[in-house]
Amino acid sequence: MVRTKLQERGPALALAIGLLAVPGVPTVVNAWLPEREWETAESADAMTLTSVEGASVGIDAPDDWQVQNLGDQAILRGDGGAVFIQVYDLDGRDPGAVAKRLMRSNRVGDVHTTLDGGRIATADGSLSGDTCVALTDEATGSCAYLSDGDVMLSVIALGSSRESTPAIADVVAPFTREQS
Amino acid sequence: MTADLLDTPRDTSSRPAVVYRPESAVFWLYTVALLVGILHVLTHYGQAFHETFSAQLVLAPAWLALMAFLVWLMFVCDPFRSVRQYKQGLVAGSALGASTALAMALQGNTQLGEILARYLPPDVYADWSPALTAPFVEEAAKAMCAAVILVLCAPVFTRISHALLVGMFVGFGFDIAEDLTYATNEAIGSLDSDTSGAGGSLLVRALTAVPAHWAYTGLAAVGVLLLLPTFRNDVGWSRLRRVAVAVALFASASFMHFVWDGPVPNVWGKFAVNIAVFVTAVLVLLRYERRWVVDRIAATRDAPPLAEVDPAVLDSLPTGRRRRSLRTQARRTGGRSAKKAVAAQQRWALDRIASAEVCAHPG
Repeated sequence: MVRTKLQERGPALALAIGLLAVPGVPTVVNAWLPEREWETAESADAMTLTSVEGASVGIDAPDDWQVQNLGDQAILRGDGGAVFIQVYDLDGRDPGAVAKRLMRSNRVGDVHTTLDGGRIATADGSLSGDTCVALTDEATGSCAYLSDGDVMLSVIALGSSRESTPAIADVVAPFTREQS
Repeated sequence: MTADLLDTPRDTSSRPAVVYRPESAVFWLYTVALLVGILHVLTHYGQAFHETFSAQLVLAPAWLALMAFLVWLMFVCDPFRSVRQYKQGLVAGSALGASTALAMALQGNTQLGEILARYLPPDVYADWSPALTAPFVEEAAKAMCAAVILVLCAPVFTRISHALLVGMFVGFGFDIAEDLTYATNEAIGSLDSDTSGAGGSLLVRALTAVPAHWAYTGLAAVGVLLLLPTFRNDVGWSRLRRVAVAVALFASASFMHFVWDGPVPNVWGKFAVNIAVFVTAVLVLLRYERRWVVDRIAATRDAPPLAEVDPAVLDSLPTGRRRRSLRTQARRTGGRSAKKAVAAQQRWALDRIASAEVCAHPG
């Protein structure tokens, strides 16, 4: 059997380098740069999440936790745990049905949540809803879907162990629905 | 009889292989890039595609209509039928755009976005991040995929019109695959239903499909071809001019994408700017294909196969207006069947001019 040499190896190599460089260069630069700065929450600090339609929810992170406010969502982390919060407009939708849609959306993102039959509310009573358990490949925790009829707040608290998982009741208690 | 059967048919021996060229390392690069791209996209979206499959099935007629419309529109940009003989190259380009280019863009956009997020305030980042990532990462990804096709199919894709259409089909594949990911995200994220989320997204993308990725990449791919040694430089452009025009075309593609993704101007302003840039560029680029067609007719009109064509038909080919005029004249004299016959002759002659059959009989 006669084996023939592949032709156009130079052009193929040049093209392969180009194909790898387009996603590769930003990936290498991003890995090389220092990590994005997180803000550290102080006792007096509170932040506001705003939904697409402008509804506001006040968020209070535990002291010395690090926070990132991304507008309609926020990430809090500290003591080995992390909390993911996002606010949605209900626009007359049934909160229970929306909670089911969010649970499905979370599942596609590999965060599995299941209602556990519990109820939860903020300390001022402005938001209330159902509690659930949350599970990912690397972490476990608890979660809640809170509403006041206008907005839906999804709160997922995760930790790598039971000790590091923030208690959902403590996380949610200081939240408040702000009237604009 | 046996000898007849063993003889290679004349048509196949005279036409070079377009995509399936296993003797070339570029063919294997194409294959690996395609498989890696498909795997990457499915790793990121496989579960979501599966979850929302029934909604996409409901929307299937709309998806098919959008694809058919875009394919028709892209062929409108090929009035000299330069690529009709090599559809496999266009399909290969679409497949690469829908998989490899999308995978490159998913990774590159995310990474560049994270870099920008370090330095831009959150509100500025939210407004500007699409315009500061996609026009560079996505255009580079699609241009690289167009380069793979132009090198793989170098024996046949050598002219500006070829690159324009190759780029359009790479961009088209990217466009449809990106639309699918957006529709899937919207379906998953919809608080109402998968169908309403995906349907809303598809509607918006369909209404804004002209001009979009297919148009941007068409221009960028011409830039790529100008930098390749396989460019059939009939017009005798210097190296400097080729580089300058290529840079202008890359800049035009990214500029159109930037305008579309930026927070300003308003949507009508975006349409106006992008259509002006795209139509101007295509009209200028197609002048070279027209010149090439005119030269080929002049050089080969007395030799087969063009010698078999009515001279009036050959004379009508350089412009759409002349072609329509001849068809109208045929309809007046011979009715609709005569008009159809002239149209068929025009297509046949253009296909012969565009293919190697005419090139094999230089005048």
